[in-house]
Amino acid sequence: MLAFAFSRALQAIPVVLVVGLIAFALFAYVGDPVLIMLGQEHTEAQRKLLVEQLGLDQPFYVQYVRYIWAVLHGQLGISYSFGRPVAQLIAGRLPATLELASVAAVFAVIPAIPLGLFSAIRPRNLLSRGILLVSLLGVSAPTFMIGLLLILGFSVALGWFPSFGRGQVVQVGRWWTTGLLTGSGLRAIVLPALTLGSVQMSFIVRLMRAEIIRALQADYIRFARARGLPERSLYCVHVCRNALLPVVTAAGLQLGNVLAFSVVTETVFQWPGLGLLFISAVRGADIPVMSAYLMLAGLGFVAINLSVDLAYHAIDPRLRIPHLGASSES
Amino acid sequence: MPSLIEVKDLSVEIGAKQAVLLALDRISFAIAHGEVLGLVGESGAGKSLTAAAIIRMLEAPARIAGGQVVLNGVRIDSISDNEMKRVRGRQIGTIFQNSLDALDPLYTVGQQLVETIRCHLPLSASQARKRAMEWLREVEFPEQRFYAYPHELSGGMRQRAAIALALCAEPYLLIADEPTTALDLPVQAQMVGLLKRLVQHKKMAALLVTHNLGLVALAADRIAVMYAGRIVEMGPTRAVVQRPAHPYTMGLLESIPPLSYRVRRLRQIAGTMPRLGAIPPGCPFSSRCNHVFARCHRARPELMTAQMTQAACWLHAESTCKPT
Ligand SMILES: Nc1ncnc2c1ncn2[C@@H]1O[C@H](COP(=O)(O)OP(=O)(O)OP(=O)(O)O)[C@@H](O)[C@H]1O
Ligand SMILES: [Mg+2]
Repeated sequence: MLAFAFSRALQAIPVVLVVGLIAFALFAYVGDPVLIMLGQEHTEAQRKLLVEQLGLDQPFYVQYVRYIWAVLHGQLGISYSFGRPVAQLIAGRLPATLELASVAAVFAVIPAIPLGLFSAIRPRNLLSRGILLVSLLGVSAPTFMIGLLLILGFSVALGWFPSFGRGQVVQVGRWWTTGLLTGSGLRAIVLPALTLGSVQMSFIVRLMRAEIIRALQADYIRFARARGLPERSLYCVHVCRNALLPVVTAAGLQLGNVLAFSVVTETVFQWPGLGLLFISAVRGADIPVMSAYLMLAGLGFVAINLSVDLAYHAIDPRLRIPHLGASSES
Repeated sequence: MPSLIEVKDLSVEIGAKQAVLLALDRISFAIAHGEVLGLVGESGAGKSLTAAAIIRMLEAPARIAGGQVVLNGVRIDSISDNEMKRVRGRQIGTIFQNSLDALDPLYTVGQQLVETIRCHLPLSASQARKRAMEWLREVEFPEQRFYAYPHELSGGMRQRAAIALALCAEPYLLIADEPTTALDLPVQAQMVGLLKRLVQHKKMAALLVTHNLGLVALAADRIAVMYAGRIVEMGPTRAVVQRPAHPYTMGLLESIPPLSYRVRRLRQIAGTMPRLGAIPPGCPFSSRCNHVFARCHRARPELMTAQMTQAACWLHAESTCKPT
């Protein structure tokens, strides 16, 4: 298991380097940093000095290696519009986004699995048909529309939840701020998390349903029935685990989409996270922030893929290397 | 000797209201304790349907249309679904066709055996484990492969694991639906021999379904031959193999490849088995039979005593005007 994790982590390194290259290209070649830092009025000598200081006269690969080296040390440059280190900006915004994404993932996964199971086992039930219809809407409706509808219903009409912001946050430790410990923070996260989780949830419900139906037709399930296994263990032990294999993969990869869609959701709800930071960076052509966001998103996807691989590996024995003595037989 | 299981006039229909086809037509047979009944016939004859109907695991749109199944004096065709669940595995062990995929790929052979044993017998985990090991020994499955996953096993080994799974709760009756089809010939013979030994040793009874008459002759005490959803001949193995009375059985015997490597020309029965909707009136075999005569088209023959077996063929009716 450890060896597998290690080899997978090694395989991720080239991916990260390529993402780094793109981020670097963005950083180095979009716009003229010297112009931005010195303003319109400067002498040729000033310019030369800065170019040397920034290392812009070095060949491309030297700059790239320097960039990666700096990133590895947490130096992501200075934001043009805030005038503060990008690393600091990101560290300040990261907790909001991670909290939103995790709560959204919980909203998406926990109800989706039993709902999918139910609609597969009782296909004719009215509730199952309802689940299918709603999940179809969830898959096809755009995120921002779901967000706006939720705001319309639950904050404008009913006034149950706030329509924007993160509520009151408290500092936990040196790096983290959380809204999950205050009443207003908890109320504030409900609508954005529902919005962000709705697509994933609908998707997982439908996938789960399809996979359960497929597993139910498998020969080994028929055989398990003929062995007289009770319905409960049939479903819990055999059907669900087999059906979960593809669901884990897809749901894990969807987590990447959760991060991606958080840009939209954070904009709709003015959620002070990375997505909002990114959008404002795009507006202000704040290249260092944009390229750092790109790096971070790349790393996030790589980490997610890695954990999906590991989870899959844990569930499916067919991917494991057979232990000694297991491969020889008559 | 009283029979362990008695199947009486079991019929199975397929289809919805408008188009109902009779897929099994009044199947009757009995199996005594310690006896192996071989059920043979061409593909599509209804062998698997018979097996599935007995344990009430027909898949829609097929359903039981009539008849009785009596196991140990209890009519299991009319008990509740919940009671039936306790019959499956515990009183009747079943190996389906395609039993190479009988094991859940995500659990080891040992886990699946222990699960089955504990579901039927009040044993602790370690007792169940011991019992599982014993069963693996019984089916000649190497014990150290207890922790192997199905994908790590060869076909023959998976087959043995499936047999152990079907038998580990010590049922009275084993239904084995083509337990050997996916294996090569020597392994098939081995497997059938193993089944035969187990049945005798454990004093069970078995219904052994196969399309290979030669193979079933190795293990069965009696043979029932099926054609188009009916039993057309039934009798002791030797009689059926050596002095078959039904032209279909004769045809089958001529068309099987011998287990020994005697050189012999194989002959095949002309034509194919009629589709369910196109079974001729009268004798279902009349469309392919060499001995057909007028009466065969008019009336359907029931099983009647013929030489040393029972055959559903007008050739053996006492008061007929046979063709000369
Ligand atoms: N669930 C079902 N729905 C519709 N038709 C079915 C169903 N099960 C079986 N049949 C039909 O019933 C007939 C008998 O099928 P059965 O599976 O019993 O044949 P078999 O004798 O086991 O053949 P084989 O040697 O190929 O396994 C076939 O014509 C088949 O197409
Ligand atoms: Mg069959």
